[in-house]
This record gives sequence, C-alpha cells and structure tokens, in this order.
Amino acid sequence: MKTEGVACRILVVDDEAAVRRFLKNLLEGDGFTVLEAGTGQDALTLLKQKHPDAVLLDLGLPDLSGVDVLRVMREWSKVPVIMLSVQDAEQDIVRALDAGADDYLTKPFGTAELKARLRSALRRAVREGGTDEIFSSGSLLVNLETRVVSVNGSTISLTPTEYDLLKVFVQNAGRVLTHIHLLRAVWGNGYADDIGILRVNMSNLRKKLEDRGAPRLLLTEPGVGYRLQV
Amino acid sequence: MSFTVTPKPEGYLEQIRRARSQRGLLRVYLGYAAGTGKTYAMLGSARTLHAEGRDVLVGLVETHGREGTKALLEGLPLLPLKSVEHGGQRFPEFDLEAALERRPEILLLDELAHSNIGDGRHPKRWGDVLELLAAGIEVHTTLNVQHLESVAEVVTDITGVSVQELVPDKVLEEAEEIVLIDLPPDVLLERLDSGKIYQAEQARRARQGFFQKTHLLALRELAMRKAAHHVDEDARGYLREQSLAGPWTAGERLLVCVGPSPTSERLVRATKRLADGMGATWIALHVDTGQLSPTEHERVDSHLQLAQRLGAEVVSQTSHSLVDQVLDTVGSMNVTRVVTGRTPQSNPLLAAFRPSLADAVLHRARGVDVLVLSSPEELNGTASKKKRARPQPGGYAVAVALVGLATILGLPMIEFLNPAIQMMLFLAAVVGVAYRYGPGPSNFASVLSVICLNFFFVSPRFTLLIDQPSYWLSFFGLLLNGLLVSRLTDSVKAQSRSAQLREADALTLLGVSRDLAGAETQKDLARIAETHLTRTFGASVVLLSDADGQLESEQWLSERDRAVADQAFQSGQATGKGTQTLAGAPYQWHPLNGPTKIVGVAGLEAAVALGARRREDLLEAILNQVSAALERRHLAEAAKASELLQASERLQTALLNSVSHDLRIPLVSIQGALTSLQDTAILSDEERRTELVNNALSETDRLNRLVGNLLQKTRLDTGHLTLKLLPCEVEDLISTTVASLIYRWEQRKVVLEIEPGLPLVPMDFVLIAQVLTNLLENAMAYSEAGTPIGIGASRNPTSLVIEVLDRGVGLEGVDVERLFERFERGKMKSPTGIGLGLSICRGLVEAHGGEITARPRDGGGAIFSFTLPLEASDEN
Repeated sequence: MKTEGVACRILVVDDEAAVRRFLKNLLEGDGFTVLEAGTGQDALTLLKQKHPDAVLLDLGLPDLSGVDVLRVMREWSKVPVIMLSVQDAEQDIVRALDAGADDYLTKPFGTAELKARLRSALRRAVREGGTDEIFSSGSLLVNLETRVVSVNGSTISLTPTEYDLLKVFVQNAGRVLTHIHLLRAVWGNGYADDIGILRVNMSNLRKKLEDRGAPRLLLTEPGVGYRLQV
Repeated sequence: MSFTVTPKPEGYLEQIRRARSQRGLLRVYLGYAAGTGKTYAMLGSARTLHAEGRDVLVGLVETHGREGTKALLEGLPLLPLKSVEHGGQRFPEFDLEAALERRPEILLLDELAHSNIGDGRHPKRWGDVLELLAAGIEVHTTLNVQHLESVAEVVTDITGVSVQELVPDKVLEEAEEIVLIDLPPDVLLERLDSGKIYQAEQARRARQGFFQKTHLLALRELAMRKAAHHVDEDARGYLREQSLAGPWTAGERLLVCVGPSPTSERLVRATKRLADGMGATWIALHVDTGQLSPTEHERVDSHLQLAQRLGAEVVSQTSHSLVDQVLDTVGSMNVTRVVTGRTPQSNPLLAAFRPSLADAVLHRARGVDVLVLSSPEELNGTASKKKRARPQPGGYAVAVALVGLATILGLPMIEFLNPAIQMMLFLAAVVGVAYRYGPGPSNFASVLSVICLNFFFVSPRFTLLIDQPSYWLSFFGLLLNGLLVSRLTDSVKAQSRSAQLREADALTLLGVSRDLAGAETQKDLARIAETHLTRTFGASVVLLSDADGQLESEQWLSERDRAVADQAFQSGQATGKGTQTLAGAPYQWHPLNGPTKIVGVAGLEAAVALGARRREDLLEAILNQVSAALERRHLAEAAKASELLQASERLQTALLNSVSHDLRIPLVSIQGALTSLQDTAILSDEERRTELVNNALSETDRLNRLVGNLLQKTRLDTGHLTLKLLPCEVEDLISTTVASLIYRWEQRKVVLEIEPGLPLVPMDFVLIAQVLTNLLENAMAYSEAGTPIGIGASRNPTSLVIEVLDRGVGLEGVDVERLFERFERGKMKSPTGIGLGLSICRGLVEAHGGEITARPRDGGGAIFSFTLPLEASDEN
C-alpha cells in the first residue's frame, strides 16, 4: 500500500522473532516497509528516529509492558497503534485502548483481518483532523450537520442521548471504543462506572438501527467495548 | 548537670552496633530522685535529634504539670495514648501496638518502672521496652535508681519507704548508654521547696519522707555507683572480647541456696550485688527434699523467679539430702563460692549431729569459699521458732497412747521381766511413733518412755528417784536410742518419699510415652496428651498444634487467648498467666519444642504449672515427649500428603497424554497442508489447494480452542478465576457469540427464541460467552450438518435460563451427571476437544451461582440449559 508515493513504514514490536518474521513477510509482500523491535526501549528509539506510519505493538514485552510503551509514545506521537494480545487479556486491552491504542487483535489472528485493521487505522490517520459531515456504512446514513439518521432511506427518530452515542461511534468509525470511553464521552466523567445505562442505550440504538439478533453495524467486543463497523 | 558515661573505645561501640544491628539501642536517663531533670534532659536531646531530621516519636512523657517540660514537648511528634479501663475508670496509657505499627527510629518512653494499667501485653513498662528494642526501635527512657531490683531493698533500709515498682537489673544492663542526671541535693531540695517538683501539700509530705537530705545523698551515691558500674561492665566486656588479661578472676561463680524462708529473697538480692561486684556469674539452687507444703513451694518458686530476673542461672533438684545435692552442684558447675543464710539451730543437741550447710560445704568441698549472711530475724533478736512443715498434733496423743500401752503391757510382768526387756518395749513404741509422725512426737515419746521407765519399773518405784547409778546409763541409752531412731526413720521416710515422687514421675512419663506411641492420628495424639496432662496436673489443659505455620483454630478459644497462644508459638517462650508476657491471660501457654521446630503449644490453667518446681520439670518432660510425638506425626502426614500429590500427578500425566494426543492431531493436518503447498502440482490445482488450506485453518481453530479450554480449566481448578460481573444484555450475548462462530458454520441454521423484555443480567460477559460457545460447538459436533440448532432465552422468577437445542444423537444411555465431569465425552467421539468443554461450562456457570443441566429433547436430540441469577448475590 502506498501513500503519496512512498512505502508506508510499519513498526512491528514483538519479543518473538518468529512472529516478527511472519509479520515482516506478510506486510512486505503487501508493499509496506517493516521496522522491527524486540523490546519496548528499541521500539521507542525507532519511533523517534524513523517516524513509522503505524505500529503493531505486542502487549507482553520483556522490558516494559506494551501499555507502558504506549503511554510514553502517546506523549509525543499520534501514530496509529494496533495492540497484539493473547487470549483472555481483556483487562490489558481495555487499559491499552484507554491509553490511546487505536485497535487490537487477539493472537492468533488471520492475515486478512490484520491487513483490514491496519488499512482502516491508516485511513483514519490520514483523515485525522476532520470527520466527514456525512457518514454511511451499509444501510446506515448519518448526517452530522443536520442530525438526520436514516436506515435504508427511512429516517429514524433517536433520543438526544442515543444520537450523542451514535455520534461518538461515527466520529470514531471502525475503532474499538471501551465502555469507559463511551460513558465519559456521552454522559461525562461521573458516569464512568454506570455500565447499565450504556447497555440500555446500546440496546435501544440497535433496535432502531439493526435487524434483531444479528447486529452488523454496532458490534460487541466481548469484555472490551463496542465498535462501529465501517 | 548531666554527663554521659559511655567512654567506650569506638571500635567496641561499632562492634556492638554490628552485633545488635537488628536490635534497637536503649538509652536510660538515670536519676536518684524525682525532679532531677531526667525527662527534661531526655526531651532536650530528643529535640536536637528531631531537628537533625531523625524520626523521633514521643511514646509517653509525664510532664507532672511542669511548664519547662511542657514547653520542650512542643513540636515533637506525639503518639496518641490509648485509653485503658481499670476499676471503672479510664486511664491514658502508652499504646505499644500503635508504636510497633508506626515503627519510629527513636521512641521516648518516660518512667521505665511504671506498672501498666489494665491487662496489656506486659505487666510492666520495661516489658514494653524490651519488645520495642527487639523490634529494632531505639528507646530513650528515664529511671530513678531506687526502682532497680538489686538496690530496692537497700533503698528501703535507707529511706524506710518500700519501693513498689521494680525494674530487673538486666533491663538496665541492656542499655547501650546510661545518662546520669545529677543534681546536688541542696539544689534539688530548693526546687522542691519552690514547688517546681510537687504541689505544695505533696512537697511538704515528700520533705518529711523520702526527700531528706541524708536520704538524697545516699541515693545519689547509689545512682553514681550504678552508672560507674555500667562503665566498668562495658570496659570488662571489651577486654573480654579482645581476650586481654584483666583484673577479674576467671570463672568466678557464686551459688546461692534458695528455700521457702523469707530470708531467701534477701539472700538472692545480696548474691546479685556480690556477683555484680565481683563480675561473677551466679547460680540459684533449690533442693527439693520432698518436705515442702504447696504454699512453701510457691514461695520457693517466687524466689527462683526473682533470681532469674536478676540474672541468675536457676537450678532445681530433687534429693533427700540438701548438703549432698549442694556439694554435687558445686562440683559439677565449678562453683567457687557458696552463699548461705545463717540458719539458727533450734536444737543444740541436734546441731551436734547435723552440721550446718556452711560447715558441711567447708569441710567437704575444697577451694570453695562459703559466705554466711546473717538473717534479719536474728539481727532483730526476734528469731522465730521454725515451724514444722507438717504440724501433727495427733502425733503427741499417739505417743502418749503407745508409751502408755508399753507401760501397761510391762506392768503385769514386772516380776519376771528384766528392765532391759521393758526398755525394748518402749523403744518399739518410739520407733512406731517416729515412723508414722516424725521427729517431734517421737522425741516426745523417748522422753516419756524414760520417765515411765523410771517411775513404774525402776526401784524405788512410783518415784522419779533412782537408787542404782547404773540405771542412769540405761535411761541415757534409751533416750539416745529413741532420738537416733526417730532421726533415722525420718530420714528414711524422706528418702522413700522423694523416691516415690521420682517413681511416680517416671511412671507418668512411661504412661505418656506408651499411649502416645499408640496414637493413630494427630487428633488422637492431642487428645491423649490432654488426658495425661489433665490427670497429672488436675486441671484443664488444651493442646493446639501447628497447621501450616499457623496454630490450629479452636472455636471456644477467645481471640485474646489465641493471641497469647500465638505469642508462645512464635517466640518459643512460655506466655500467659504467671509469666512475664501477657500475665493477665487465664491460661499459661508452653511452646511444644519438637526436635526440629515448634510443633504447637500447650495451654494450662496457670496455678497448676506454678504449683511446684518439680511439677514444672515433669511438665517439661511430658511436653517434650508430646512435642516429639507430634513432630513425628507431622512428618508422617507430610509423607502421606506427598503420596496424594503423587496420585494427583498420575492424573496430570493422564491429562498430559490426552492433551498431547489432541494437540498433535490438528498439527498433522496443518503440517500436511503446508508441506503440500510446496508441491507445485498442488499449488496450481485451485480446488485442492483451497480445500487443504481451509482444512488447516479449521484445525488451527481447534488447536486454539483446546489451548483456551486448558487455560480456563487450569484457572478454575486453581481458583485463579475472578468474575467481573457487569449487567449485560442477553440478546447482545447471544448475537455476539453466534456472530463469532458464524464463519465456521455458514451452512448451519440457527433459530433464536429470545423472550422479549429480558432485563440486564449481571454476568462476566466473556466467560458466559465462552459457556455458550462451548455448548453451541457441542451441539454442532454431535448433530448432522443439515439440522437446525436452537438457542432460547427466557426467565423464571429468580433467574435467566439459556438453552441450546439440537437434533443430534441425543442423550440416550448417557450418564448426564458424569457428562459434566472432566475427561467425559458423549457416546460419539467428538471431533474436537478432550471432554473439557462441559466441565468448564459447569465450573463457570456455578461460579456465577447458576446451574447447568442436560435433558433429552422431544423428537430427538438434546437440550443443554443453564441458569444465571437475575440478582448478583453477595458471595459472587
């Protein structure tokens, strides 16, 4: 994949050489330039020197934790970061997302999935700075200027809270949003623990936007949060 | 004026610091009376330390309302006092627990001699101080010299005031630094008169009592001597460390004999002073000749405890002969001097036959000095008559009766009996009395016999006159025989009594060891030990044994008692009633010292253990046996536990075999697919390539799920699973789970039946999603590809019910209960998993407080359903 005629640089941070080798082959085959780091310190150094366009960051590193690396780099870099984690690490994932990660993948993952997430993250980074006024995904159409939401062409009536919630999703389309992130963005800091209120509104929103029993737009990321599928 | 008397060579100081690095330093501000300015000096120095940035904490300081002292206290951090109730009133007291918790570098604690109010951990403040030092906290404290145990009596002699609050000398010996706070008595009296020490009324009374100039001069000298002595000790200690020749006599060792007499206490204190003066070690010896009453035993014990507190090595022996045992100890322990009190011999006649202890030692042990100290009774000229241990008033009546009987028996035969034969009759009466009633009545019988012989049998009869001088000799012989026989029987009896006691002890010990050997379990063992101890000591005994480094718990034991028992267990010292630690407790706890570690504690209702020293030895012997048996049992049980561990290891091996099989099978397909991709022929065959790759992919999924299940199972088994319960939407749960599986069963039809209006249900979304995934995968695995799979969600009054329905092989002939156990599978060999899936489901559902069941479905197939409580219960 090329942006402005130069190969995108992807920094792969993982302590397993086998995983790095696999990702390097995969991504170089797709036209990316791959930088490799085996430790958190190396990763931070490379970030400063080479300014990669995206980072694949493993959660468990030998020196620093992935979340720590993320926190440090987020002090001066907005580069999109996709966390790589093992199964059953939802809590770490939530912490990483709250610390500024853009997305996550659970090992083992399929290559198609990885490439799709990576492209999506890079697209968002390019678009960074302004959200389009009109958003569409599948049958859903949202006009942020006129506040009109329609499914299959028919206008849907949303409560102000439901609209605010949807707006947060639209502004972060494709990204995983943690429960806490959503609660803070829509209800404010005081509600960060009130997951019930989020569930009820999510349920209502889905009822209005989706087919029953088969959500395709607003997806649940078990134990982590939700994502608006692009 | 004050000066610090620690002129130690720096190297030595360093050496001590290193050796005691774990232990806190003790600094004592020593004064000779109240008002010399000890507290003032202590606070002054503390302020300097505080200003230097040291962590100083005021534990407790008595200002006595003195303004200067109060001003010094300002700005220093104070430890809050705790309020202690005593006799219906509340008193502020030093809070030891809080101080240990706070762990300051230096703690100020006024009045070392203070008796703690209430039943705290230590009856005296110096106990608190020792514990603080042991905890590594430096303590600064104040002390007036009259409170030192070794000088208390001297002080009483000087001032006529009896000192109540005593501090053992060994506490002062602990001190690294003694700061002598000196003030000329005239200045002190001036301060007293100007009301700086006491209020007016109190000051006037003090002036007439304690605060007389002569008293103060003497006390001042005592304080100076003590401080100087401390320096002396330090210097000596240093020389000894350096193995330099010194002025002391090597191995000087004193022995003091301790009995029940009040004189003994004085002897013990005197010996302590002597030993200190000579730089000698000393031994307090008690010889139990089996003639003491329980109250006398108690007195002996208190004397021995005093000696122990004063630093003596205490030895208690059972023997019929005091002198023999003393000589024995003198020889075996290299004693150089024996200290004894002068025991006024009430009977000059007996004195000839029983030499005093002092004489005996002088005669029979060479090179041993004997110091005989006068007893105060003798000095006061009020030597009280020594009371018999067991007064036997009946004995004298029996003496009269027996002598009378001998007379009556003899009278009818007076004509044909030789008076010598009659003498034999009398002698028999004397022996009889001596055997049963001891020396007093038998001596009386001897004298009575002589009188009767003279009066009734020797002419001129019925007078006390004698006409034949040879009879004088007979009378004297009879008297002498009687006295000797009574002495002899008494001694034989004492010997046999002490032998009986020893035999009884030995029998008890034998019984204990025999019964302990037969104990089957640790509980048995504890019960046997309790029975024996209770039988031997006649009061309630309880045994707590070690369970994984903790004492086992007993329901009835109060938290307080338990804390006292724990203290004994941790410290290895006896605690509770009658000891120096937590004396307020109803039980006395003894650690059970096994061959390699402390295996538990025994609690005795205190009076029992303190009854007599001999019993304490017996107690120790029994406890040693119990300890050894307990430790043996511990080891045996550890061996058994390791057997169990082996069994569990066998299970692990079975699991491992099963897992490794199931891990390899997918790898076969994956490796096969990958290697065939190297084959160009296959690579170009689109259809075959796709099939191989898809197959490898689904096998990877299988591997991944297997690993996930194993991890989850391990978490469940080891109790490392923590539930994150949050309200969740049921429809979300089901649709998300189905969506995550859909790519694998695109060809399967899934029918959802979700009751409308279900509430949010508290659950760990991820874990319940896993339960549902496992159930759906099972349903898929055990049914034909064309059949639909149903998912139902409904509610009953208290719980959510989720069902997974299939049209598969069903449950006929399947033990439903065992289905949820580890390594169990349905009748058809599942293409996935090793039978962990359902066991994990059950674990997870039960962790949520729900149930999981399976039942046959009408029309074929099975229904697996689980419930989740609608309300999160507290235990989750």
